Amino acid sequence: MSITTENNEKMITLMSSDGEEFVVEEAVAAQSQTIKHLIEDGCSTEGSIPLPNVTGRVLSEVIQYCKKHSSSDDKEEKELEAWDAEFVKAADDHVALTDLMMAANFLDIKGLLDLVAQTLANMITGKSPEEVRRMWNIKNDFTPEEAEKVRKENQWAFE
Amino acid sequence: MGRRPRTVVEHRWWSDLSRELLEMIVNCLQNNYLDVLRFRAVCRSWRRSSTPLPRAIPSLGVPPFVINDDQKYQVEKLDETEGKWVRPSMEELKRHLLFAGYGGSFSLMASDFPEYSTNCIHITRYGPAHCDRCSGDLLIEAVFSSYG
Repeated sequence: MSITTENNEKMITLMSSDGEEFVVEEAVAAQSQTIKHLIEDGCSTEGSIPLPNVTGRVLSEVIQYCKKHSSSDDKEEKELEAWDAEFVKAADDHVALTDLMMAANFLDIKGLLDLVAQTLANMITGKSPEEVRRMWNIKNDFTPEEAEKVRKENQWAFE
Repeated sequence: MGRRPRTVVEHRWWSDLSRELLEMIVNCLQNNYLDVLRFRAVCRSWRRSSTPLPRAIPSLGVPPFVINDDQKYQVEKLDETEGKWVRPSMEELKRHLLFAGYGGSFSLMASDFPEYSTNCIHITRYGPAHCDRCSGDLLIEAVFSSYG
């Protein structure tokens, strides 16, 4: 990661759980409420801000999102929406999206959190529980009693 | 799929998601009753993170009927816990406006439409194939008669 300071923006160094360092403008990093508070509390004055819950791979995606959203204003809403759609598409699959969601939650980036939650919801909309399990490799872990309860609840809806 | 090689293979990713995050996903299901039901039927952690959507008046089964002066209307609602159709009491309808018609039936929150009486079922000439709050125009203007 190269350090670019073409304008006078204050730069912040973020360190991922696997030790990767990212140097970003403070305005970009402050898209995360968690980081914003850490900066306000003076945690960024020495060295880098460690983010023990976020891997470098995920953090680079998060930063990409924050860069885009800190540089766009409201007038570009449509364009931003299209960008968001491409962004989650690039996240590839539900596991990557889940990682992203957990990171967005930890870093407290509401826009990203909402975006990923909606994307995951869209992926399961209209699908049967069995299809969802197959698609996302989820084990059906209901006990026979629970399964019966589920069946009852859903009887009218699926049969 | 799979543009980037994955080193950790198939961890139980869904159990990594906290209840709070699963709730967020459920909330994104647009309050679609069926999707929430399906969500709850996938696995235990998903079920724990959601509650069945309360339905104002659950699907009202209005059998085909003919509208004339001496017609008795029979309206039933689905009791989801029992999985049975039961007669709703007028008491239950108080907070809701219930419209029934040939094509279907739907209910609205009475507080949103103060001009309609709440203790009756509004019979409409033309029912909607389906109704949700977003479709806007509905058929409120076509209320034919009210019963109750």
